[in-house]
Amino acid sequence: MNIPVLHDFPLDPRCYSVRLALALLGVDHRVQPVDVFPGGAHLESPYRELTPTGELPVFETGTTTLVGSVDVLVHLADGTAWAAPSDDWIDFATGPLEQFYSCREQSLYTTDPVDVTAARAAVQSLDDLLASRTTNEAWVAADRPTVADIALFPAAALSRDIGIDHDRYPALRSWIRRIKQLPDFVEMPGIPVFP
Amino acid sequence: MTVWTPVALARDIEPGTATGTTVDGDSVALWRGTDGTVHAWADRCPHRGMRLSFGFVRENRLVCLYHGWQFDGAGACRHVPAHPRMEPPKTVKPQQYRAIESAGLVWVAPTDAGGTPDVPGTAITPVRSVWIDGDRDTALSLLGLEGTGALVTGALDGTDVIAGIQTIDAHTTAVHVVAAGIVPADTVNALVHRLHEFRDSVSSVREAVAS
Repeated sequence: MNIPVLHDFPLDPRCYSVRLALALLGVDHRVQPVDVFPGGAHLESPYRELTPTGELPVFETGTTTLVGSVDVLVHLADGTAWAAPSDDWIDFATGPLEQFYSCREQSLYTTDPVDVTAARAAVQSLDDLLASRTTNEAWVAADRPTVADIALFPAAALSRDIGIDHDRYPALRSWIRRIKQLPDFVEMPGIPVFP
Repeated sequence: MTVWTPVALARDIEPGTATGTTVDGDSVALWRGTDGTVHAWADRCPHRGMRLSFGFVRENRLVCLYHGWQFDGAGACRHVPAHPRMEPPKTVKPQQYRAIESAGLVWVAPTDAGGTPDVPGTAITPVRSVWIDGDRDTALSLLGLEGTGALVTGALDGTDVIAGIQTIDAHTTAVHVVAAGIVPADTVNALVHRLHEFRDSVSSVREAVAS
């Protein structure tokens, strides 16, 4: 039987959200590292065929090929306790979150000036959302951790990369800490396991 | 300038965590040991100047993120990982502030400050901290609160509230709000939303978020 393959760039937060989901959900898989930077391997064969736009992560389930973190996360959570009761998080993940990530990439890989206004608004929105939860522990989409938390976590945890500190986001700090304490949590460069 | 500055809701400085704030224009690291004691130090490691608020808490020590130097609750350096057998010099200490909890808030003052902040003795329910784009007067008039000290009282949507006012800089004021008495979760939630509305009414554009 084929074990699923994740085509992964370790420094990419979208790929990390999938690695985190695979770890938390306990899904058996193999990781195939892709030299995105500086190699640009995602734009060459065989990735030309797997992901024509160069988007990562790519997840080969054995029967189908999924491209992009949202599709992979939805697939992984489907039918499990990690599924989110609504799809609202997908709008956030494909809108404000993508703005945040492109901002971070500009900051890390170019010398261009970075406008973090939109990214700051996204982080504030997340803090507000968590502060509005009336459950004992605040989670993004339900009264328990779901795929929505996994999808949004990397941006929040990496916000210092673009100069957005956590000092003014108390609900976010508490949530980040609780995610790091989930059983089988994994790190990425820039997101240490310790609180 | 009042001696004691309210810097956070006590609830928001969780045991085993560190974060940063500003007192009289100076950066301050706030942290709480697993024993529940809250500490406030200058946000600067005495070793290489790294922000201590980036550090992490192990038991009742704050560990600097940069080289792992460990400082105990009194600020004494207790361990230097690069020289595990060396006894760290007693002079290596972050600059200390006084930190206490009162009325559901964390208060910080210089070490030579005497006494404790003047607060009402009522039970409280923590609500929310918001950072408002504006000076103290802007923040107070926005919230419809009045007072001269670090602590102001008033009613918000019919609920009696107590607010700790913290001047961050000339353009930013943090307001740490608790409700007087024990109030139901629905009331707290309504107040949280109200505070967000107040904050957003004077802030730059906010993105809509999935709820």
